[in-house]
Amino acid sequence: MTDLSPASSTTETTVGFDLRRTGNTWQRIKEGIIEGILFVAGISSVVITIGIVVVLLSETIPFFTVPETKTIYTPTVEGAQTLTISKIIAPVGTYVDKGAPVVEFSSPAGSAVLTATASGKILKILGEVGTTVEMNKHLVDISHLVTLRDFFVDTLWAPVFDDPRYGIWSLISGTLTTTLVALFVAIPVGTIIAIWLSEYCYPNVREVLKPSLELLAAVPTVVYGYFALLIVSPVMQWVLGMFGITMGGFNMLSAGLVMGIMIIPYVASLSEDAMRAVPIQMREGSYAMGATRVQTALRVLVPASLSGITSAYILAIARAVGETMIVALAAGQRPNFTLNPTQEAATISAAIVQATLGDLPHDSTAYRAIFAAGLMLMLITLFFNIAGYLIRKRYREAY
Amino acid sequence: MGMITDSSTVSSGSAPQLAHPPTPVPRISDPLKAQVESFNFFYANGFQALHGINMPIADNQVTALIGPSGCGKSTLLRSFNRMHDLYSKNRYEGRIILLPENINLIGPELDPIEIRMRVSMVFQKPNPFPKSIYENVAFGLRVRGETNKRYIDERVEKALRGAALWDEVKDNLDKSGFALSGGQQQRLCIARALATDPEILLFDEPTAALDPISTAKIEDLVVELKKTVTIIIVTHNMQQAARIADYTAFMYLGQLVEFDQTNQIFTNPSNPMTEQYLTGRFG
Ligand SMILES: Nc1ncnc2c1ncn2[C@@H]1O[C@H](COP(=O)(O)OP(=O)(O)OP(=O)(O)O)[C@@H](O)[C@H]1O
Ligand SMILES: [Mg+2]
Repeated sequence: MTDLSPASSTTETTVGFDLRRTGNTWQRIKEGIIEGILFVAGISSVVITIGIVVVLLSETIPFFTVPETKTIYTPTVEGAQTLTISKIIAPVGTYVDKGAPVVEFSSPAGSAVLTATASGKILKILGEVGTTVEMNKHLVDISHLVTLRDFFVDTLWAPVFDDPRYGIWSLISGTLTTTLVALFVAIPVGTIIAIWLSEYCYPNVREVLKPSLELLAAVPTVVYGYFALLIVSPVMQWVLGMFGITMGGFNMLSAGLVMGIMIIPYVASLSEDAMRAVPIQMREGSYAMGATRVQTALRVLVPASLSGITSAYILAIARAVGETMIVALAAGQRPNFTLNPTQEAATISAAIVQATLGDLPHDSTAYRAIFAAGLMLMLITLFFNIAGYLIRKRYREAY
Repeated sequence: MGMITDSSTVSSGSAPQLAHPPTPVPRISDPLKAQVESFNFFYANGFQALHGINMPIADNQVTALIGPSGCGKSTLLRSFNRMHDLYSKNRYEGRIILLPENINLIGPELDPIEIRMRVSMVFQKPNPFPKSIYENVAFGLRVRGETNKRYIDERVEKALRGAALWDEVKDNLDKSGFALSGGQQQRLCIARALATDPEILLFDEPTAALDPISTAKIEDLVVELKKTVTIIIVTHNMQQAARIADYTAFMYLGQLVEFDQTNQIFTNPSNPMTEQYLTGRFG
């Protein structure tokens, strides 16, 4: 980023004389303003990225550190009017695991045990041994903290349930499955289109085809979403039905397929740019060896433009991982820990948008969970970007 | 023995103009590998880059093409392996006969790929592929469908030895072709062209991008290679042509002005234009 800023490039031109000193004052001011604009433009993307990460972290850190108070109600006992506390098993100040007994009751109709609905520290018990309490009344407060274990080991995402669960894997599985289905479509089709456009098609045909292909990426995703739900999904249901597989109307397969169509232009257009940037001598060198067009494309041009093609794939992956509308509409929004594309499932982005549409209090753990999920989404994208960077470094073109 | 009997008058001093006079067919006593006959070439935009070229190519000899920039040297050279077919609407007229089979290299009935398998080419700028040294040399065999590892090993070694590169790279065959110096890259490209045992090897200013030492190595190599392959080389360097070529063709404005044995051209050119060019008065 910073090497875009003129400040760093002028340090190299100070040999001899500084060009900026040669003009009159007005010219110097003008140069200064332009330099300033360039600098701001250069670092703005860095600033924005840092800003986003700061916002995400500012809610994710409290998500894991600020405890949430859980209230527990007295149990119901069939036939009884009131219950009497007969024993306090976990007094105030002790830590209990979820499901551990906290208070024991007795009643004419029988006895009962109140168990913790979440792990944490007992904050308050509204009564002592011998107190008579009504059924279904607020009795115990537990100070519950979401742990990394809850986040990474649990396999259910249900932040707004009475017994909230924050298992991110049930969302990651949805994101990965839809992304994989999309890449399964977009990478082969997009790469073949790129090879065809750069090596086979007439230049004037390409001039028309490429912009129209790029239009695919400009279709509003909500349109794609309904296309997936109303057309692709029934067709896929019918197709799979012929193999005896039944599939619900909401499924990751249709969402992924349509998402794949949407990202084809990212793969095709950028890969084609990369292939056409291969120097003409290399292309001619291959033909001069007696190679055919297919051989030239696959054995010389693709390896020669691998770094650009990798960039195209990474951009497509990032686009698929973050895509929201298609999956929210067509894949269903029920978190589901599965990699089976015929299932309905929520992705990270779909869960975020779903949670945002409800009216969650801003101080709640459920609200902060959105940001934790958002941070995960960003980390996944970052992971692919780093992987792409390493691949590009490995195969950097040296011509 | 070659002679050209063109005697168009030339205003001395300024760059001379040719008005497409008919060029007689030069005759040589050496056995021929190819024969260019009444050859015209038109680029896709309709521009005629070559006019009625008649020229013999001696078997197992080096033929140099010289002349000022834009005179059509590369155009002529690239006709021998049908490189112009890569771009649509380019048009050949006339014949380039490959001997002894007596086939017309530019005949539309011939598959350019077949021809490129027999006529290899080395470019001005070294253009190794983004592959290992070994795979660069093996490329031509692989595109011909060769899969026998031992055979390919053998051919790669032979080609690298032929290009005087073997000793420098034999321990690094898996390294990228880009890791070599410019001169080594050019010899790698020569090895690549040799690996398929071509009958004719085309060089388009192969030393233009190289330092003097690398240039000298390539020149030695060209002289060595003519024992096994017929060579046509485009060069801007008169000394280079004088050092390595057996025959030299002087071209101007898309025409062949003079073709003769190299020493004849350089010591006693029969066309005043040739003399003017060689003495640096234009070009
Ligand atoms: N693709 C093309 N389309 C149209 N005209 C071309 C094309 N390529 C070359 N020419 C023209 O054909 C003529 C011969 O070009 P050519 O490249 O054969 O010259 P050259 O002798 O190799 O020159 P140099 O020494 O500069 O390489 C030139 O006038 C050039 O402008
Ligand atoms: Mg040239």
